[in-house]
Amino acid sequence: MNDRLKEWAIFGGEPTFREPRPFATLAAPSPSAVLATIDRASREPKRSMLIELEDRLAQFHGGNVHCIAVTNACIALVMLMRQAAQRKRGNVIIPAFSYSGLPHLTQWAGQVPKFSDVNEKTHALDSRSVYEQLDADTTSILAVCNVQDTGYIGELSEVSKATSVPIIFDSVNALGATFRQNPLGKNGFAEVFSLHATKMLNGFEGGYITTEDDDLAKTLRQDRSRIGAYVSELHCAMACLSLGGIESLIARNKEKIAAYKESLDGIRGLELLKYEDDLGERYNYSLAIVRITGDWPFTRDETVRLMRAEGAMCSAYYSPPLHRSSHCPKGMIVDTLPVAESLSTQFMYLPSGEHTSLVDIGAITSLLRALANEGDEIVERLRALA
Amino acid sequence: MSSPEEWLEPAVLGIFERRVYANNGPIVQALDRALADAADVPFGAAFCSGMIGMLLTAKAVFSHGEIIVPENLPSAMKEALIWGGFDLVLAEVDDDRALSSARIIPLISDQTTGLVAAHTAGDIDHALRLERLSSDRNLPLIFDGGDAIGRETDGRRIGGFGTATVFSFEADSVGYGADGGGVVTRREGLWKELRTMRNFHAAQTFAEVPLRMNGKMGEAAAAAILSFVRSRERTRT
Repeated sequence: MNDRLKEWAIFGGEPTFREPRPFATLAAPSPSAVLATIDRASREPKRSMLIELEDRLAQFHGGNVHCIAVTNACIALVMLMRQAAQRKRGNVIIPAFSYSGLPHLTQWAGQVPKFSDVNEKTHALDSRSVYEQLDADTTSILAVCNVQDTGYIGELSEVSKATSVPIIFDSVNALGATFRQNPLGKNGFAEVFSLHATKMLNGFEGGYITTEDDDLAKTLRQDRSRIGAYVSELHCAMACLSLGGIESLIARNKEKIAAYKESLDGIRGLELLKYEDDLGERYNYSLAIVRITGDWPFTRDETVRLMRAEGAMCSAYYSPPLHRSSHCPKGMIVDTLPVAESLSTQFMYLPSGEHTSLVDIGAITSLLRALANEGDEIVERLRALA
Repeated sequence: MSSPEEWLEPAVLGIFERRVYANNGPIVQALDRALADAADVPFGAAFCSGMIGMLLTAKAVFSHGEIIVPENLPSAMKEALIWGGFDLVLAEVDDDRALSSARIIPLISDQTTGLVAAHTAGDIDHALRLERLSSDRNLPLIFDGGDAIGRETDGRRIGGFGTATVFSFEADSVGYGADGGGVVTRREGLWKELRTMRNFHAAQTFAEVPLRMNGKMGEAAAAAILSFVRSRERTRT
């Protein structure tokens, strides 16, 4: 396709995509299967879908692991941080280059967020960055397993053991990935996953905790009952069906990442973030994230604006860094965290998931190639607009 | 749980057609409205659970300090206040299981920043006396409305008393085992804060708020609860 013939949408032309192409996964089973499952569940005892979902998730995570489904992943994280803190008011180490909810969640757990820099290559906390922030008041470490790299699970688990500070893994974006060739779900104090529609396992909305610790699992189930944090049966039914389709979803995602890699090749200034699958680890390939380098004619945010006008719903990735965002607690002064600050200017999501086809990916990369070729002219017009 | 009903199929098909499964979709927005209508107040907001509804409402209306609550307040509501960082002061309840002003007054100290009461007894004089105490002492008052959305007390709908009322919908009472919560209020400012606090999205920011959370209800649970709220409306009239 070509956009040389067409005016850019940001300057008043027709958008490339009439229906926006998101980066959310939005995988869905057939609605008739969902209705049939709901109908079956409505004739079974209370919360039977919840029990079925938890059993199937435990198998998915390799068996011999507890799986506790809760209202959503955020509530799961707060429940775990509260457990780890044992009523003590202290701090939780979180990565500064991550999801905007993290500083809020630590505060709901009665803890102060302690922002930590991340590793430049993996974008994850490593033992050096954790030791920099760790003090006598640290009640837990909240490490995030990123979509393209699960980070330093082994190394951080050692730090946790050596210091007796529990480590919680937010594995939401890494659902389906492996560590040392085993499915995630058995690391640290516990791991947290999501059942949100935009992620890998669409249960409308919801989340779950996995842990190998029998006592912790029992306590979490009591907590869930006390606070009423169950997942609705309708949502469990949807999640069960989505779980049945997860392998084929991963295969489709992988094809899309390969298509992006091939068609972005040769465009100066754009680098597709690589999935670290060389050593036999699995990933879910759910997000296409591109790094914008110095050769690219536009800033990251200008590129996002140009692409969104075309209906390609690009978005800044983990930007601004949490300690420099409105999500940082008011009045808290955080020293510079150079890696997080630098990374947060560089990346954007490209459309991906079930509503972005291989043909769409061709059209999206054609737009990007045209932007690279016509860079100087468009930059001038764009900056005149502003 | 109940058997299939006519609302279910069109609701599920609509969700799949729109591809809006969560994140403040049209069914949640309709539920926000229906909650307000059923309580006969201007503003309503749906939450993923009653506990989260109480947590966010308490954080929005109470200052840091002690909250006086009835000893028989449901555990989820007590936990919500604990998650909110408040200290609970438990008040004894009377024989009718309700919290009375006489029980509260001796417990009020300079640390007290708010009151929570339940609509257990349900007579209007009780609610009005608590409202009066709340305004005399300048202490915000949140009612726990249980699942009594659309119910009346002496001709006035539950949900119209105090600063706000929190409802909890549990799998036991709502069709298809749907869980969720709702908050209703007459205060527009509080409503804006609550709708901001229940998510982290810049596009869903309507007020300056102390803290945010994922408190969003998914569209399928919202459809079940919307049907429940509307059935209350029908049985009432």
